[in-house]
Amino acid sequence: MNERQLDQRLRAWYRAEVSDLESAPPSLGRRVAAIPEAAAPRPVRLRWAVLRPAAALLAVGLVLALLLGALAAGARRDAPVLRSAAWPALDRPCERGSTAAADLPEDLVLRFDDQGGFAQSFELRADGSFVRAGQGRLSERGMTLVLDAVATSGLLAHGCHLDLWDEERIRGVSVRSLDGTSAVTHWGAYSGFRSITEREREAAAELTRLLRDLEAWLPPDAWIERPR
Amino acid sequence: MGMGESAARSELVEIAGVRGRDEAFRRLADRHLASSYRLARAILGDALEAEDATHDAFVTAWRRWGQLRDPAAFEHWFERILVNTCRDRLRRRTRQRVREVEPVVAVEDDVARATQDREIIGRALARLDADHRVVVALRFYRDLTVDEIAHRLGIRAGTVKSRLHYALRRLHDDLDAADAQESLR
Repeated sequence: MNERQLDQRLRAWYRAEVSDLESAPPSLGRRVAAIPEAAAPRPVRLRWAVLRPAAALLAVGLVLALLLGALAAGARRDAPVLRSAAWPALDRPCERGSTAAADLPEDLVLRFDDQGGFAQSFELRADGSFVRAGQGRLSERGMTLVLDAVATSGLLAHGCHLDLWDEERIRGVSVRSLDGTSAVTHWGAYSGFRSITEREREAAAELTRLLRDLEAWLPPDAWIERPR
Repeated sequence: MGMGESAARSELVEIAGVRGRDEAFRRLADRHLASSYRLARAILGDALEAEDATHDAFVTAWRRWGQLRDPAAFEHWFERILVNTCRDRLRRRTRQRVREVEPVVAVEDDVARATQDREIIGRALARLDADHRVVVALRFYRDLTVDEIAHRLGIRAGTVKSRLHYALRRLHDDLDAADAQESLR
């Protein structure tokens, strides 16, 4: 099969799969038309029909959060704990509007993906809380140490969005700077920007180890709440 | 398939005359709903997921409505949001599921063979990672040039080229292997 044949097969596949005459489902049109109402001053009542599952999940989440909050010793701050100046990983020009900019939800500071999914992921929020196999909360010092570990890995030093080809399973790190821009690096069998260097391979392995076992290296003052 | 410049200008004039952002949003959403849904279908390869992704993208667009200063730029602006939404959904899929699909069985007639060919290509596309699958869809479904894809995604043309190159090489290998397997039957 030559390039032209591959080109033709792909175009034929898309034509067969997605007809130009295909219209959007009516239910989608109704849901989209309701979006401005959902953002009206009384969003809960107006959103209910559209976002019932999300509302149910939110309610469950709120109950859990209240229970956890009641159990936690001492008062918890919800405000961001990271107040220091910009940290070094993103202290450089970043390509604004790149695909990387939308990679992180707004409340996340860092995300570590393992195997491209979230079963083994690590997410660090602006309030210091993180999601992993267990949950905990970092102090400003803890957040700074984690972000510095990412920065010193050098994996984000080559550009805002870097894909590294490697034989290993895919992993990725996304970080957000204080100005809202993001930097993303992936390495693994499905990435293809260029081959990973030996130094980057070692850095990636070390960063993976650090992010998967914070308890092993973060000092006591890095924690507001240790994982249970 | 991009909107022509004159059409974009007339859209600008029309939307500028619409009072209230709710109505402007609804009009633009209605106008671009079908094509957006089809693009999501092409990227995700799943109708239900495409519906959800399109809806989520419009929610994001509504939340960021204040960033859209020029209604004539809506199509490109929104398409970038949509593509990113689809890409994020692809990343959340488990890759294991794709790898464990059973091999296709031998078929006899032409119709079945065509169906089988579609399945083979669909599986090969599903094995691509999110970034590669997106550029392939924009190139071969949307028929955009490398520069247009780069502009839509906000990345360098060189990055688009390398992703396309990698994706096509991988598709070529996968389809050749499947074709060879089929010829042995």
